[in-house]
Amino acid sequence: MSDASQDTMRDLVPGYALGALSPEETRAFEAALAASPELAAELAEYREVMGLLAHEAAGTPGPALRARLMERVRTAASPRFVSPPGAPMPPRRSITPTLVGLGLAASILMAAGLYFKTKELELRLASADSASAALSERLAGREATLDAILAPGVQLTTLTATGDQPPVVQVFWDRRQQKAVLHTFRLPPAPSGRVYQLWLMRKGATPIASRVFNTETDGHLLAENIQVPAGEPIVGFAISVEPAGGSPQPTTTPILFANAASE
Amino acid sequence: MQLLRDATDTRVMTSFPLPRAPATDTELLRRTAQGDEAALGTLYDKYAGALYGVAYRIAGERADAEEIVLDAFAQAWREAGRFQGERGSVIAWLTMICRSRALDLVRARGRRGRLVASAHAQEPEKSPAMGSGPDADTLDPEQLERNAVVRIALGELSAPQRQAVDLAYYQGLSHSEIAERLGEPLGTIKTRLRLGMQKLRDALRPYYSGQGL
Repeated sequence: MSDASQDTMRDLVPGYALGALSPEETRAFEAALAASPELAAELAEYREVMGLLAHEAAGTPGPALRARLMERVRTAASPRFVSPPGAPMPPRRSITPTLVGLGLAASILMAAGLYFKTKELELRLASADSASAALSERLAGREATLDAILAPGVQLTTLTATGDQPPVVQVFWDRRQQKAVLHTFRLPPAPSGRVYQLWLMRKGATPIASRVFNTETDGHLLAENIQVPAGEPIVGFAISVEPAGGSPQPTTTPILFANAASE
Repeated sequence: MQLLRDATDTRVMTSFPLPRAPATDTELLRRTAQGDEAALGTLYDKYAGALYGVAYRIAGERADAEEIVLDAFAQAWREAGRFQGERGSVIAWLTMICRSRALDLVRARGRRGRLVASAHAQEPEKSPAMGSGPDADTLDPEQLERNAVVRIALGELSAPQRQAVDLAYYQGLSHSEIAERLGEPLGTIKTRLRLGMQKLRDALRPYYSGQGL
């Protein structure tokens, strides 16, 4: 790995430890990690930091929890035995060296094997359940977005500029629900310390400050549940660049503007 | 157990080093791997409070937090033999298990949106993941000292750095999710989180170095 590449990967270590990287970054980092003891050592350091951070939040669980844990491990029999290197396992029980004893031991081993196999499957199932639930949640979110966009009476206003590859912002306005969905593409992230802000333009009045947002590096963003107050004479939408946190009124000239279709 | 801090020096100092017993923890886990319930109980007594705190801040409910801690220690019981001491300390391993379980639970139950909305609506200093300190009546002196050291280290972060670390650590948000949530450029968030974590690493290194690293 080149020095520059190594530096790039080192920058990803804290994010990887926290699980904050994108899937692409995660794949790249894990590939580099497999071949770099230095990255592994650095990752171990950040995991220690995360372990220490747990003490910041320390609390006191209920007094019955310890007994529940002990009860659970008693009923779950022994843990999975994996000997640490160089650490001989002590004998756990004596087995009478008779045929009956051997048969009994074999049965115990088989039962233990089945037990651990069951627990392993349970763990895998729990993990799959969790992944499935997360996926279902995302799908439900996408469906809700589609419903919001495709609902009867939703008006689409497209804000764009001139040029070969202009940024495009679409506003899907549901007057009945008094809500809007904002979708951007080819809109580069705002400069450092700045954000984009959506404005609801009113006829003969100052604009209403709306959603503050920023885009991904690929220029995309999907923002939902934008409130559009009823009874206001909304005639269009505008986007301006504002200081972080947004502004009550535009402080810069809007970069994109479009009139909304009349009702 | 007095913590000392030189006003002209941003480094954290303590009147004596935090208890470092890597051999003890590793030994306890080795005995746990061999089916020693008492060893697991000792680890529980030592670290259940810390894990419970993390779980509670992630899940937001006491009952959930207790189940998460229970599951985390039960997993440690099952998988103690897989622990590799050369890769880190026992508390780092336990924290990873507990945090992962807590985040999985919150994601699976779709509670994440509520937590994020809650954090977004509040000032960084008041976010739910930065609540009040531990109850001095219920934590032992060692726990209180560890808590103080970590709080001082966190206090060295700028408010935006701390907020970013908090959103990633306690809510499991990715860089892009944090950027979207805070309305900041993605690159700014990446830098902020990285610098915040580096600062914590530098401040806390005296307390984990020698623990198997």
